[in-house]
Amino acid sequence: MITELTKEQEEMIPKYVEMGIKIGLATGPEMDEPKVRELTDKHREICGVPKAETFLVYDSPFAAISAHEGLTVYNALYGQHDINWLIFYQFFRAECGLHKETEKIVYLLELAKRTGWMWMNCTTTIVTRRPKFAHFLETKQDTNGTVQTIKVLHNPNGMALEYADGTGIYSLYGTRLSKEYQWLVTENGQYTIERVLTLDNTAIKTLGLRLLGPRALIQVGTAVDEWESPIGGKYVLYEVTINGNNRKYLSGECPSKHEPFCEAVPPDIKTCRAALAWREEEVDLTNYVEPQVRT
Amino acid sequence: MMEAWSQTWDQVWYQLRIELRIGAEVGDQVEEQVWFQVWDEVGMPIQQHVGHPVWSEVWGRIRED
Repeated sequence: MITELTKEQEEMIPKYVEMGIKIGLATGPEMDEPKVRELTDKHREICGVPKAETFLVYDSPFAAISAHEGLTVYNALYGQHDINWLIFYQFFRAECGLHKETEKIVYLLELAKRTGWMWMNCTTTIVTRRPKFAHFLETKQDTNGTVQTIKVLHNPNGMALEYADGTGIYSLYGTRLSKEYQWLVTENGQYTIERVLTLDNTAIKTLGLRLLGPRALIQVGTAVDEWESPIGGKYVLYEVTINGNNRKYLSGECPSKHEPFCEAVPPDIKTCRAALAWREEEVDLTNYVEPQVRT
Repeated sequence: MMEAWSQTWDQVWYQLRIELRIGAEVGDQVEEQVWFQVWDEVGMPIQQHVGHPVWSEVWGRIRED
């Protein structure tokens, strides 16, 4: 029994991670169909299922499920999207010599490098092509205290993941948009902040607000304080009501880059000066001394 | 018809995964060490951030039909 990994084996893990991500996020609908058919037949055989009499290729999982009764998300094999567990076994196969124990993943791993989702029944194999393209946003994610940079599906200008037949998914900042919310992308920013504010779904509303940016938000807000700092810079504090809650945003110009900024401040803040003090981590305004230079 | 697909799926995927368990050859600690690293770094971006949205969209389309 393997009770610990050697240093060399441990050092190989990141290579499998890299390989897995590359396979899982690969795009390109091109497919060597005879090779894929051969691999699916070999996989069937190794699992005790006869070779397929019929082999069908579809451009997307949507096309396949529309054409065949009985296909579901539950009875699919996920091709490239199965890579996370396939690569786990491949590590033990290639690095620890567990060949016999893992022999049944061999063809699935080869298929993961070439296909999207698949379905098999006693006579038929259906495979789908990988997406035509995928748009990602790199973002930070905190997993049990470990901050990682991850890629999430995101495209504010169109589908985030699109198949060759034009089907696909819309996603903003890693959140899939169901049909009723896809206008956030398809209307290409030609919608008003008021329309976003009427959304019932808070998570989707947040995505819409994030997409429009805080400057759009203050257009529907009320200026509650204006202030010109003696060291330079004009500031406006806005109040905006979202879902019946009052939010405050400080707007001004960045003194170093001379670019406009607008950022959220605590809702109990009443003046620009208090908002600036809060930004500069001075909570008690009575002790707040205007800096000589603001950068 | 659904039974035919699901029955074969059991053989080519579900039963297969059960058979693949390597616990007899690999200690729990090593299995976890590799699994957690691979899951966190491959499973999260692939399965949760790409695979699952596709899953949800496909599922939504099946229900609409």
